[in-house]
Amino acid sequence: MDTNGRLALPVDLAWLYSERRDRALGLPRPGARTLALSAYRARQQRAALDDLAKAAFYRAIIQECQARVEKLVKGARTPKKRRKALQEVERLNALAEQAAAQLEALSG
Amino acid sequence: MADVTYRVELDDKQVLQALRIIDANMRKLATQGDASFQKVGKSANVSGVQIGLTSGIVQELTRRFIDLAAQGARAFVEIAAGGVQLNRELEVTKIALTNIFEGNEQAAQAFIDQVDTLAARLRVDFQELRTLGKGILPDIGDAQQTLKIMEQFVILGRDAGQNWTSIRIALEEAATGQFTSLQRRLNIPAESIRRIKVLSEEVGIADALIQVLGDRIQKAGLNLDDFADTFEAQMGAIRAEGRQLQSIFGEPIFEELKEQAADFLSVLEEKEPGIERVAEAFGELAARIVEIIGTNLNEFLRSLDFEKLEAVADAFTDVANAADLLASQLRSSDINEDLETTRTILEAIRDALVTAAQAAALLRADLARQRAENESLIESTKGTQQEGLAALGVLKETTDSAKAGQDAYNQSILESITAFEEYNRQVEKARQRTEERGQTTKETTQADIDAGDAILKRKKDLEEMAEAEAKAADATEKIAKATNDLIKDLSRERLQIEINAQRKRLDNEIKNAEEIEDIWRKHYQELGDAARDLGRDEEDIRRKAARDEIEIERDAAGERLQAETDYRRELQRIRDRFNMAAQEAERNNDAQAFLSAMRQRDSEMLDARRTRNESVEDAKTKAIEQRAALQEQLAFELEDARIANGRKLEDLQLSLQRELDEQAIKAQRAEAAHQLDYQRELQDFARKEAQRLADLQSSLTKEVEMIRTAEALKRQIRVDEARATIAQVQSIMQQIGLRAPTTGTQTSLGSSLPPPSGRRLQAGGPAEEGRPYIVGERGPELFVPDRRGYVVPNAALGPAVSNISTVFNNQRSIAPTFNVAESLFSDPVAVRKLQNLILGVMVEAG
Repeated sequence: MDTNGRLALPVDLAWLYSERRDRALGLPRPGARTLALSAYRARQQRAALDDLAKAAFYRAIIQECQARVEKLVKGARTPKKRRKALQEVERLNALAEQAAAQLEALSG
Repeated sequence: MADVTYRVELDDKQVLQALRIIDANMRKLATQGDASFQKVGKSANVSGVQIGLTSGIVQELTRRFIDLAAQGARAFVEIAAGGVQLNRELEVTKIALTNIFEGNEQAAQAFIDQVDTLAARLRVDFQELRTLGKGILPDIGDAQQTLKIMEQFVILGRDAGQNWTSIRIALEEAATGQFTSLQRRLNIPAESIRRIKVLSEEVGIADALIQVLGDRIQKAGLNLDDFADTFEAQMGAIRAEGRQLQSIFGEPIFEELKEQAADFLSVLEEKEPGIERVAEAFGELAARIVEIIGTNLNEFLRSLDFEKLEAVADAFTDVANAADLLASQLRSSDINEDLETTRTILEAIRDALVTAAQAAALLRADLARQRAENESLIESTKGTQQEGLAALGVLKETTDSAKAGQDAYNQSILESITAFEEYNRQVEKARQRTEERGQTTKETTQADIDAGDAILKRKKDLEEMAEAEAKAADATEKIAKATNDLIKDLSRERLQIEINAQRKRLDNEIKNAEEIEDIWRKHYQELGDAARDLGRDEEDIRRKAARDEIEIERDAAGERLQAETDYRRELQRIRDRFNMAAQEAERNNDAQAFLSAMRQRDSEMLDARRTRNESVEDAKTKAIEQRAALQEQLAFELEDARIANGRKLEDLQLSLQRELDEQAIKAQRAEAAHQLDYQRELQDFARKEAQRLADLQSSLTKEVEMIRTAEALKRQIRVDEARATIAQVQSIMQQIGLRAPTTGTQTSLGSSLPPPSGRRLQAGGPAEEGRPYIVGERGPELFVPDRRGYVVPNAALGPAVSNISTVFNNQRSIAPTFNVAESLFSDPVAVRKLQNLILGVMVEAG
C-alpha cells in the first residue's frame, strides 16, 4: 500500500494496464497517463538496465576470453606453441576471472 | 627485504596440463557467468523478454564497439600519424623551398602549386614530387625546367616499368651529371646519353636533358595527355564534401555518441585497463545512450531507432574502413597503383559519410522528438515521481507532449534539411572560392615564378661567381706555388748540373792519374824485367864462360894426360927396347952394347921427358891462351849484354815518354769533351728554364683572365640584383594597386608614391650610414648613404645654388628615379637596405 492507502501495483503492471486500457478505448496513440507511466518505468529501470548492460559486458568478456582460450588450446600443437600460448591463456584466464568476480558481485 | 623473482621452466607435459586446466576453468567461468547474468537480469525487475533482448543488444553493442574501437583506433592512429607526418613533410619542404628562393615565400608557393598540378597530372604522390623538386631545383636552377625534367623522367620511368624510387634516383643522379641510372633504369640508349653529355657542355645539363629526353619521348610515342587526369580535382571535391559532412556531424547525437565511444575507446586503448574501468566506461556509455534516448532502451531499440543506430554505426564503420584503405592507398608511393582504386575508395567514403549523415539526421530527429515528449511529460509529472505509483493518480492527460515531440521532430528534420542545404551551399561556395583562387593564383603565379627564376638565376650566377673566384684564388695560389717550386727546382737542377760536372771532372782526373800510374807501373815493371834480363844474360854468359873454361881446363888436363900417357908409353917402349938390347948384349956379352943400350936408354928417356915437358908446357900455354881468349870473350859478351840492356832501357824510356805524352793528350781530350757536355747541359737547362717560365707566364695569363671573369660576373650579378629589386618593387606596387609598372629600366615611382618616410636634413647636419633621408631638388627623394656624411644646407651655399641640398660624401641621390647604373649597386648591403626601405614604404602605404 502507498501512503494514500492505494494498492501499489508493480509499475510494469500499471503501465500494461494503462496501455491496454488505451487500446480498449480505441485511442489512436498511447495516452498521457500511459506515456507518463512509461517514462517513470524507464527511469526506474535505468539503474537495472545499467547493471544489466554491465553484466552483459562482463559475460561478453568471459565468453570472448573463453572462445579465445579454446582456440589457442586447439591451435597449440607443438611444445613451443603451447609454451607461447600458455602466457596468453593465463592472461585471458586472469581477465575472465576478474570479469567473473565482478559479475558475481553485481549479481549479489 | 628485496623482491625476488623465481622463474620456473615448465616441461611440455606441465604446460599441456596447465592449458587443459585453464580451458576447463574458462568453461566453468562461462557457465557461471551465464548464471550470474541471469541472476542480475532477474534482480533487475525486468521481464525475461527484456533481459534477453537487452542482453543480446548490449552484447552486440559490446562486440560492435570493440570492433569499432579496434578499427577506429587503428584508422585514427594511422590517419592521424600519417597526417602529422605528411604535414610535417609539407612544412619542411616548403621551408626548404623558401630558403632556396631566398625567403620569397610566394615564389616557393608558386613552385609548390605547379609541382602539385604536375603530380595530379602524372598521378604521383604530390609530396614525393615536391621533395624531388626541392632536391633538384638548386642543381637545375630554373623552376620551369625542373618541372619539365620531372615530367619527362616520370613518363620515361613509367614506360620502363620503374617504381618511384628508381625514377627519383635516376633524376637526382642526372641533375648532378651522372647518367648511369638514367641509362640502366630508364632504358635510355648509350647514344642518347652521349648526346646529353655533349649538349650539356654547350647548353647546360637542364636543356640537354629536356631536349634529348623530349626527343626520346616523342620517338617512343608516349602521349603526355594520357596522364592528364582529373584525379586531383575529384579528390579535392571529395575531401571538401567530407569536411562539410563532418561539420554536419558536429552537433547531433552522432557527435555525442562519438564522444562517448571515444572515452570508451580511450579506456580500451590504455595499456593496462582494469576490467572495472572498462566495465564502468561501457556502463556509462550504455547509460548515456539510454539517457540520450530518454526512454527505456528496450522500447527504443524495439522501434526503428536501433536500425538507425545500427545504420549510423555501420556507416561509421564503413567510413573507418574506407579511411583505413585510403590511408594505405595514399601512403603507397607506387605510381602504378590503379587510379580507379583510389577513386572508388574516396567515393565510398563520400557515400558512407552521406549515409551516416542522413541516418544521423533521422536519428537526431527521433531523439529530439522523444526528448521533447519526455521533457514535457516529466515536467507535467514533476513532484509526483518520487511516489511511483502515485503518479497514476495525479497524472493528467495531455496532448501537448505529443505535439511538442512532433514539433521537435519536425524542427530537427528542418534543421537537418537546413544543414544539408547549408552543406550544398558551402560546397558550391567552396567550388567558387577554388575557382577564384585558381584564377588569382594563375595571375600571380607567373609573376612569382619569374621572381623565383630571377632569384634562382642570381643564386646560380653567385655560385658561378664564387666558383670562378675560388678557381682564381686556387689558380693564384697554384701559380705562386708553381713559381716557388720552379725556382727551387731550377736552383736544384743547376746545382745538380754543377755537381755532376765537377764529379765528372774529378772522375776524369782520377782516371788520368790512374792511367799515368799504370804507365809508370808498367815502365818500372819493364825496367825490372830489363835488369833481370841483363842479370840473366850476364849469368848465362858467365855460365857459358865457366863451361868454356872448364872445357879448356879439361882439354888442358887431357893434353897433359895425353902427354903423360905418351911419355909413359915412350918410357915403356924405351924400357922395352933397353931390355931387349940389354938382353941382346947379355946374350952377346957385349958390355959395349949394353953400355950403348944404357946410354941410348938414358938419351931416349931424356928426350921423352923433354917431349913430355914440352907437351905439358904447350898444353899449359894453350890453356892459358884459351883462358885469356875466354876472358876476353866473356868481357865482350858482357859488354854486349850491357849494351843491349842499355838500349832496351833507352827504348823503355822512350816508350814511357810516348805513353805519358799520349795519356796527357787523352786527358786533355776528355777534359775538352767534359767541358763540351757541361756547356751543352747548361744550354739545355737554360732552354728548359725559359720554357717553364713561359708556361708560368701562360698560367698567370689564364689566372688573370679568370679573375677578370669573376669580376665581370660580380658586376653583372649586382646589376641583375638591382633589376630584380626594381621588378620586385614593381610587382608589390602592382599587387597593392599603387600603379601599373612601366616598361624599361628607368621607372619613375615618385609621382605615384606617397611622401616617403625619413629624416629631413634641409637644415643640414650629419647623415648616418644606412639611414634614409629625404632630399630632392624637384621633389622628395630618399637618400640612403652607405657611409657617414654631412649635408650642407641650402642657405649656407648662398643664392647661386637654390633649392638644392648638397650631400658631400661622394654619394648619389637614388630616388625617385631608379636609374640602373652599375656603380650605384656596387654595394650589396646598400642595395639590400634600399630594398628593405622601399618595401617598408610600400607596406606603410598599403
